[in-house]
Amino acid sequence: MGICYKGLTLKEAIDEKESLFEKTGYAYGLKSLELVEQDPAKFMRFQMRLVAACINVREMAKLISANPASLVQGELLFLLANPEGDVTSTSYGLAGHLQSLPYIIRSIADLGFEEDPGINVGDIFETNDALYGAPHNADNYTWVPIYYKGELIGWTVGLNHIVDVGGLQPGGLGTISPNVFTDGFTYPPTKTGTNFKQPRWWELHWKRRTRTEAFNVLDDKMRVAGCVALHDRILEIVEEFGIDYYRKALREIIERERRVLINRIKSQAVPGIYHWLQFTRVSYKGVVGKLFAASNRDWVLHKPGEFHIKSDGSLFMDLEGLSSEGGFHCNGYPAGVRMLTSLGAWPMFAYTSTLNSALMYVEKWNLPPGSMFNPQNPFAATVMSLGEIGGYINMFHNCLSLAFFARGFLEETFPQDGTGVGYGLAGVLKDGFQWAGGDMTLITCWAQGATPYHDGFPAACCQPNPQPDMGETEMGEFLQPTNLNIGKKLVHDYCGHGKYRGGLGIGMCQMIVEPGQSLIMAVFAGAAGMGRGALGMSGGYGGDQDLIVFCHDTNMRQILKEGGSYPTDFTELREWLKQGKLKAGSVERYTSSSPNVLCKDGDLVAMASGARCGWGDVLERDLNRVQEDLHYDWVTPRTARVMYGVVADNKGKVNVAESEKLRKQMRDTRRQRSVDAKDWWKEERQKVMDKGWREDLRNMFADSLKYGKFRREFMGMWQLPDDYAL
Amino acid sequence: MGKGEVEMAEKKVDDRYLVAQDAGGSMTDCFVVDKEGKFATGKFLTKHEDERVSYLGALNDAAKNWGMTSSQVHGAALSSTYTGTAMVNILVTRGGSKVGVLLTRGFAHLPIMERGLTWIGQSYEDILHQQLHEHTPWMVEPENIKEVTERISVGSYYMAHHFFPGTVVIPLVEADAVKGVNELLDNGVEVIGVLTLASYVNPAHERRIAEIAREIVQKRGLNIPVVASYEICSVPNETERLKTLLIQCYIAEVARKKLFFVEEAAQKEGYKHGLLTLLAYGAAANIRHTKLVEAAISGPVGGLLGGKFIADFLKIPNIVCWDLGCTTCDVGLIAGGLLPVNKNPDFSGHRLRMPMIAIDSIGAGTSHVVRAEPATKRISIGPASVKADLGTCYKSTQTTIGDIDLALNYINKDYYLGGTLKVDRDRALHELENQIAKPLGQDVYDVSSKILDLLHARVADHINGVMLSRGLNPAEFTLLVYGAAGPLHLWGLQRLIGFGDMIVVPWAAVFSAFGVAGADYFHRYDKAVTVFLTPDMTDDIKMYMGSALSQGWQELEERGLQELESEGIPSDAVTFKHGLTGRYVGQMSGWETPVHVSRVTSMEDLNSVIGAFEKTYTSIYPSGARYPQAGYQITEIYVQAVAKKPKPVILSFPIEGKKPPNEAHKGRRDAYIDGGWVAMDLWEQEKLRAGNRVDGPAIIEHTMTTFVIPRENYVELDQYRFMRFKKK
Amino acid sequence: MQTEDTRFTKDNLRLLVEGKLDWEEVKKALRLRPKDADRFWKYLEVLQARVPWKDKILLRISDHLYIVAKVGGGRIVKCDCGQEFGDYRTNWKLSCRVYARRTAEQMAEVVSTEEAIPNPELVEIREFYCPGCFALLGVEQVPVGYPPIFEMLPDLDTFYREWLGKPLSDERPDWFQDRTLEKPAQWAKGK
Repeated sequence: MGICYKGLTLKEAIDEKESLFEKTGYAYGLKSLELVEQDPAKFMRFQMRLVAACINVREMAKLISANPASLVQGELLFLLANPEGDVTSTSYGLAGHLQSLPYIIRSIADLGFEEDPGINVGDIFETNDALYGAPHNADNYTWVPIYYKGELIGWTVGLNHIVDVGGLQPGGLGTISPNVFTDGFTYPPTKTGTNFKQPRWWELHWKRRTRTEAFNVLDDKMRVAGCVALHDRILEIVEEFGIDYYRKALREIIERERRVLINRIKSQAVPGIYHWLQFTRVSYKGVVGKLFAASNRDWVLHKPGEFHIKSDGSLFMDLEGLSSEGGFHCNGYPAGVRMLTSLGAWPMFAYTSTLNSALMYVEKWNLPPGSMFNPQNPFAATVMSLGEIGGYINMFHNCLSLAFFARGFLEETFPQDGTGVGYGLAGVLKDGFQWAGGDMTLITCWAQGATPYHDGFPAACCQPNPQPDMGETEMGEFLQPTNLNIGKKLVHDYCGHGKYRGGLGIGMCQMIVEPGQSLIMAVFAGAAGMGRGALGMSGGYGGDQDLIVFCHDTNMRQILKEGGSYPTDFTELREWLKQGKLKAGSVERYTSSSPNVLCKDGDLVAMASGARCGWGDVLERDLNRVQEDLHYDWVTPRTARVMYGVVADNKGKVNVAESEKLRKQMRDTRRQRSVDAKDWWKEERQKVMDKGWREDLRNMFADSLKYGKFRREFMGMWQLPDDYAL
Repeated sequence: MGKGEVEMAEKKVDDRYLVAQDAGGSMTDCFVVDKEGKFATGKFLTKHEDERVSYLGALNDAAKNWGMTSSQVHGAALSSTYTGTAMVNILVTRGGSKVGVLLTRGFAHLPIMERGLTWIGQSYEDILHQQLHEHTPWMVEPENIKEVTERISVGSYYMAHHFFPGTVVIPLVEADAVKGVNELLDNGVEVIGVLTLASYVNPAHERRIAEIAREIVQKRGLNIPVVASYEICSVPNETERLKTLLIQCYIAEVARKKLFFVEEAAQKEGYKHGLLTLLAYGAAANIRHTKLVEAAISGPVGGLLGGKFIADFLKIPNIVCWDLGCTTCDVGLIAGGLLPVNKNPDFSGHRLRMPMIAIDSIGAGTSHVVRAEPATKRISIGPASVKADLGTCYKSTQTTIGDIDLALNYINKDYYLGGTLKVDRDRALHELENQIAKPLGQDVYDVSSKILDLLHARVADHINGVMLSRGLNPAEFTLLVYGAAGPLHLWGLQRLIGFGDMIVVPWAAVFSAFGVAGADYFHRYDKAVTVFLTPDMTDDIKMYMGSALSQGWQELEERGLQELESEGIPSDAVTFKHGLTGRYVGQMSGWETPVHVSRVTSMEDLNSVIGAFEKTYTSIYPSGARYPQAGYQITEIYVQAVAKKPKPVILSFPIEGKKPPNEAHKGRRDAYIDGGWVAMDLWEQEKLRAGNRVDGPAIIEHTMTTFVIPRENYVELDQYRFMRFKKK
Repeated sequence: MQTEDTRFTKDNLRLLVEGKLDWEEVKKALRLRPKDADRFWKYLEVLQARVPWKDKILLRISDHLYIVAKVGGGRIVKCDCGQEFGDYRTNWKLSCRVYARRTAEQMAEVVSTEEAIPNPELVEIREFYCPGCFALLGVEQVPVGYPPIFEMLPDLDTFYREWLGKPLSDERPDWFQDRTLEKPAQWAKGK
């Protein structure tokens, strides 16, 4: 006798859910929506009560948190799932995470939790294990079963992004981790409490296995308090509407919302096949040394995306050709892929006041086994899976933007090539006090990409969190006194250009002050020296890459003693170094994640991210827009001239005649230096025949050529002999 | 327009009056009380270009109920308090001052990036639909933002292990300030704001920069105000503090000019005192008050003050104030007799840092657009609102809640605003049929009344949320209903939430003006402190920490005395209230709690302070959420400097029989409720007497409100003619 | 065609296409539920009026490029300047003029932040120009030897028949089929 409706076991209930959709094409086989048809207003009222319950609980619980990311930057979510794990309503916040729930519930069903350890009233379960459905171990899930007269009728769930996961590196965004054991504190689904209470041993795990005990304990208290409160609210609603209505309505919510989404796609897009592509890099060579010999190498990661808008309005994403799993930190699992990429679906077509699992029924994915997003090695590291998966959010933005553009819905276009920069740090202060922390400022607030009708707004959006928020320096610095902020600003020229330009990115600059005995920083960045995305929009250029610059052994303290000033972003850092005004013993530059970097007093750290892509041909940019950019110093005169072919006087006043002339010259230059595609093809083909790539690139091609589809395209495009091999 | 006594009272010259006005976007409400507590109310179309006109107009409209004129009232007025949307309009119409600011070097773009909060005030659907995110219009042009080299540490969570709060890490480079100020003056700015990071723990750099600015302004023979952020907002979070500073700079002086005009007009008519206005934290203050930004968002506060007044008068400690208007639904809580304070309220797209009486608003009202999506049978209410167009019954092409109220016959189509406004019920019905009923394949009346259920559920969830997030139980609260549409929809709400008691005030439509009249005269001062109390501390270290509280409170008391004196209030007429914001070490948010000591001189004092925090915290969260082993941190303290001010009195009437007088009965009207047409008795509110009982199904009509009473309820008028809504 | 859905007018659409529509109006369009059903037809009218040639626009696929029904048959890609790129089932990039930026200096012209210039050892920046007007039609940032990316192959017959309810006259089962690889095959044969 199972715990679900009609005595089904959890596993049977989930199997039934899946087979019903397979057979009928409708969620739960619901060809008709009786409750909706009979009384749409009552149904709406029911649905909105569930949503309100989630939102209210979140507002109540978040204040308990210790962690700025949860409190200010919204890295927190509460939701209600039905017994089968489909989410039926969610609060504000990290909305994407609702996609993970079906995987997590499926996991505990397959693990036989129903018998052992048992699923009872008042039990508290938690996990952060990617193998079982959590995207990565920084995202911790807490869930509580809801029972009504002995029947399991749902789950209340709380999750948030914690500050430190106790990995090889400080913070929650480790960038070096050859296997799951170096990921840090990873726990499979665990019953951490009974009777709505957690025993002390659980708190001890946070104390012993992470660097930020107090934060993590309070976060845990927050998640539990929220789950329990939501549990009670839901039972009230069940009483109000009756269990039969509740049970049936939870399913109709999913199927009705599925139809809403399909409807949006069919009314705004154009069916067909679209392409998206990104390359990134992982550099472990010389960093992990003999300790992890197998991982002591560099990788170029190939991330193709074939995006199908199908005739029935559903979506199919084919990632064949994706690089293989490896001994690095950024493998991921399907749950993580579904979770994070949904963040591209919300703004493009899935925005509704009632987010739920319907999206799971609109998408199909091909994630080849053995590829980095479907690892077959259970010990694959995933601590920063989201960094690599995140790129695919942009596949939704850009492919659908093109589709909406083609259909005439320009206002809905929203190209993005987002990544972000964040860091973890840990140190020992002068008096031997050990501490750690992290920062998400440049991950939780980005610029918009350009659209076909306007420039991207700066500091305006955020893919991971629909409520962008940089947080407050005075709040963050209180937790990281050694990292004194001396700049947080928009950086001129730092964007992708085009007829409409992307929003300017944000630069941060910090001076290390009195770190004491030691301080290490590990900075995550997404771009990696190969650009943000491989494809510009309609002739526009891609957004500028993320940047990290460390200046060690500087004369900063001396400069300040003499009443001097300080550089406020990487461009000033660069100029000061050139002019010799700033002296540095050594300078480290990264466009991808940094290893652990040891910082000393007076060191400078400049980071920048959030620059976004342009749209259209730069030479067609309205002269007035360029003049405005010059006026506000958003772009420099050099860029105006070299990029946009705009001539202006030293006051920034544009000379129209001169500019037209220059633009004509630049078109002539295009004519002169370009060649016919056929000739370019010959040249490029020869390089392919010569195989002159550097090692990491060569490995990438070799790896991807193992996959039939990519091999066909590659061999076909370059007309290579069948025995061509790398 | 209306008055609180039926028989016309002869007015004598020795009378004394309190005048209160709430200037809304469209109407200016006036409320006048005499020394016995008899009141008269008036309305006048708000004249934004010259508010003197609407001020005098509204007062005259009220005065004529007593056969008087505005000047007669002014001659004998003890105080006149004037509040409203003037400041919001300056912002919306971009009519503020030309602002220049000096910021810590490296942070020049704070005003442009505004923390990325491009979604404030948007519905959740719009928030997800990130294409809709947008920044607020600039209050300061980028060329008028100058940077100054300096950095002071905020201190740290690790206390003694690192910087002490306020440590100067990068010395101030005065040359930057001099250069910046001169450039700003060359650009012709009209006001200068100064903000440096961490000024709330150590204002040294800000103060010095402001000094330099003032010197230069003086040297150049100009008269340009200079405002430092710590002077108006000495608490953490630079972006919120900056917004508060910018709004002060951008609108305060422009608004003050407008208020001075009104004061002049009043004094010309013989008003002998300074004009008062309302501050966001519920205080009345002279319009010379420096931090006039505090008056910017006092809009909905009046209603809560009225609620507080009634709570004290009726000795009801717990009240939920509910105001349902045409576009917003405001909810405010009075718990244990206290008005809760929100420390970073949102104000037309800006997030500020200053105390405001906590009011939680959602977009829900009678002007909200009702839509149906045929394909998916989705019904939505709002977020769009047609505002003063009411609905298809009046000027709109989109159906609204108002159309439904009319179509179902709750509202009397011939008595809208006492019949002064003509509405078309047939058109509303027709449009509801076409836009809602047909697409959904439903009966127009049935689906309409279900859409009301939907609205009532949304309001109920909102109120539940407000209470849940503070851990409060509706059954222990009295619901106080006001606003034009409150009485109209109470019947639906009370079916979803079990309040202990429900009261509709007879002058519901002008209730916030009444609240303004009842406001106390006081100033509130907030200050950030860094006080840790951890288990490992010895008592004398704890006492040392405690002394910081004493010092802080004393400092704030002195500022209070000073400012009140400058407004002509002698120090012996001033009393103080003290409080603080505390949290467990490690937490990011804090909880405000009043304390009963004004100085910490013993461990007992200290324990009572901690006790006060624990009491507040556990009133909100399960004890499992406590974390005393981590220790306590006190992040902010406040002082309220209170002066005396006359208050309105509420009249009491002799209790008469349960049966209402016949002349109050206006006949019957069929209204659609619970799936059928029901004959409702119609009553004229002005003619009902204390002690009367009105049984549902019935509708009580008033020129400004309509009160619906379903079959299972009845209404009793108590000795103050408050309408007590009860279940049979 | 039935009467225009005026909740979003053709004039507003024209302004939107020209980048001149007032932001407040754009927000209204973003909030429109359901969207104006005749948007695509309005779009075609606006676009057709902007091009100097007569071929009927079937779909717009970038700022300058359109899939058009060629007079006398066939569906080809055409630039608003009049330049034709051949069958839309073949990646139009293979009919462009191409310039590949392979050195940091060359890239510096189009990446304005020097620290952000991609690593020339890893990628080249490919620019695809219209051979007619030399407008910049497409940009790729990929390793040398990476096959050009076919950005969009629309399923036109399904779109017009099933989504718009107005089937095209020349429907054929093989219209939704990638023909790109035929071109290099010909080139290899020296054609």
